[in-house]
Amino acid sequence: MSSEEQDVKIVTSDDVEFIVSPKIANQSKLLADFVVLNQREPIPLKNVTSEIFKKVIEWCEYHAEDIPKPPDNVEEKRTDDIGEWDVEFLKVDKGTLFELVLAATYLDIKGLFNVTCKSIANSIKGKSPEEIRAVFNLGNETNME
Amino acid sequence: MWPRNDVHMDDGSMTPEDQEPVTDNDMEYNDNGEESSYSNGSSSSYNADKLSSSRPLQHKLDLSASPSRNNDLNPRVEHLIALFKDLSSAEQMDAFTRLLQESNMTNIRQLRAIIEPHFQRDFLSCLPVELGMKILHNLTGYDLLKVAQVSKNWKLISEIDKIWKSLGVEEFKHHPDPTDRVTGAWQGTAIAAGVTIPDHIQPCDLNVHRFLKLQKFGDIFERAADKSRYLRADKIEKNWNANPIMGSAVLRGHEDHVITCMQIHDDVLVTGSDDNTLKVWCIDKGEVMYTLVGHTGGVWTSQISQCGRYIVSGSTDRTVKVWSTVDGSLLHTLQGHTSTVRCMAMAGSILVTGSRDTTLRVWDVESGRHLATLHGHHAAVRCVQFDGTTVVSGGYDFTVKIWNAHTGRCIRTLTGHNNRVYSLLFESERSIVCSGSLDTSIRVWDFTRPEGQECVALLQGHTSLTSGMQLRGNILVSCNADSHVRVWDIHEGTCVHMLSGHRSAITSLQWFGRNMVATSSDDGTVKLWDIERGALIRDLVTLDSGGNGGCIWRLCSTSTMLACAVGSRNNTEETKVILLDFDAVYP
Repeated sequence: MSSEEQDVKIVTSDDVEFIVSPKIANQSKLLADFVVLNQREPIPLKNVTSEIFKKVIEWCEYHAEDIPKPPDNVEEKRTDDIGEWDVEFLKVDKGTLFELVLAATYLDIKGLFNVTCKSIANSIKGKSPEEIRAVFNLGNETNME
Repeated sequence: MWPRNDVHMDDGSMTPEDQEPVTDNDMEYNDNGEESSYSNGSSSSYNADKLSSSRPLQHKLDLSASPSRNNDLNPRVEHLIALFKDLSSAEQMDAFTRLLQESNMTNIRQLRAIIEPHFQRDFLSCLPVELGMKILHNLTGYDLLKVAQVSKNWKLISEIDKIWKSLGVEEFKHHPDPTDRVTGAWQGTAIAAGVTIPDHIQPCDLNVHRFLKLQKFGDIFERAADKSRYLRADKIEKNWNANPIMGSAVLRGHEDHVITCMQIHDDVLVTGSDDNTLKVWCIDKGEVMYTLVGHTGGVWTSQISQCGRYIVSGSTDRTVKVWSTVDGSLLHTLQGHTSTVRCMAMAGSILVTGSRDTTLRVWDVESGRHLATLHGHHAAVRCVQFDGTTVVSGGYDFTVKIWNAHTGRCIRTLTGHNNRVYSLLFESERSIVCSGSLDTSIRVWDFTRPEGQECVALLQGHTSLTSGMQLRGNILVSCNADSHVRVWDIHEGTCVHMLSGHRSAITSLQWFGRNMVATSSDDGTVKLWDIERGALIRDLVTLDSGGNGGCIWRLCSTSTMLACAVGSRNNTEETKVILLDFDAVYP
């Protein structure tokens, strides 16, 4: 009994409770520790809203069977290797993408973190400074050189 | 439950009352609100119909009125807000939708301007710096330069050195520190009667350029050194490809004789000549340092050791001489060859020389000792390569031989060429040898394969002798006496590009940067090619006497400088070395 992995309970910053299976939770280094500990008390995530957490779970469910990549010794430079499903998954407003980067960092989900960083980098690549400002809503007056 | 319904009912009942007075007149509403509403509430169905039909107009008026009035002073807007707050989220969404349907485009555009920012994020300024750096790590240097122009914050983050350091080697090219090249021969230019350097800066603009050239480390270098390195590398590449040539020089020496060999090591240029001497030049200062006198016959081959301390020369006087670059003194005379020393190769302090006497000899240039003699060729040895252990030689007997330098034994003889072998490449890591021959072909060999099966590619297309080759990965570039440069894929055995433009034999080839190749020719020109696109970039030097005897015998370069040996066999062109500067400062 004690050797079996149990679902973990998560409470998001807006007090919504989720029950997450080990195969999902184990993709997060933060949550994986709780799976091992077989913790029964709900885990509070003070930095993640329920809306964002749903997106994170959606991503983890799709990637649950991924073969883990060997650790990179060299920083990857490619951003054109985002899978088709991820491309669609990341077609969200910039605010949501912003929250996903923070959530992936906080939950320590490396694959999600890498793919969100690449997606943001792709919206910078090949653009002029004016185009970049427009995409990221940087006003012409504030914060300008 | 009941109390909420009660409140809702009250609000609902008030709305018609609120709207009706507006239909009639404001004064009546203000004076007799309660009384009027009661009276109208009990009136006929005709009034009710009128109220219903006038609703859209009321909403539009409310919305259009708000920009011109202070909201706090408009009881109708306040009333609407109070109602809105009591709605559930779903009811609010329904109300929003219906309000939008009733709004004009001017107001909708204003709403968009208010709403859109909520969906955008200034990522780099709002995220922790470490996360911003992770995003920028995915960009190229070119994109990072754009990022720096977006805003102050973006510039600061984009200039963090760690980001620039992580750029791939290809983008973060390494160059020696910026050079002077404003003194000595650089004080003039190579532009002269009979010498054209297309795209050379006007002489009257040189003084400003020379001043700026001495400001070697600029503002960007001080605050973001690695970005500065990137910018300099990018500028140097543009200096080669497109920018005006900002400096040139003429080194005069070996008058009326042929410059037979030329090498560069760091800032030292060595030229050998059939006037029996070699000259050692300081490139940056544009002056000769030493003339190496001692040979009693023409110099036909020379090398500078990898450590830069020794110059070695081979001559028709059958000797090999070892000179010091420190003071130009003669250190050793190596005797043993019985005919002209025609080619040589060095690894460390071990030298291999090839001769018309059909042998190769192995020497230690530090001690001057003779280590081995390699017998086996049946005719002159014309070219040699050496990796410190294995010697590869090509000869006029049509063969390529592989030797063990220590034992002096011939390991393998590669046969297949049916004329003299003139040029060789040896890539020791892959056991690859490329040989160019007067039979017009280039053969690619792998001498680890079974005997008789070593030839892995036969490259055909050239129509004369291949004078030079360079190999990177599977791409081989060759230059030929047929006036063409060819780019080959040695894995496929195919010609990828043929570069036409020279009008007679090509004498030298140099591949530098990612895809730039410079070639020199008997036609009196130096040309720069892009071997990825298979196109001429531009002419670098053109002699008026080209086609009439003026020729460019040899070419060599560093990443920031090109040297070409100029002359003629019929005295139409004086013997000299032309230097072109492509360097840049750290911005």
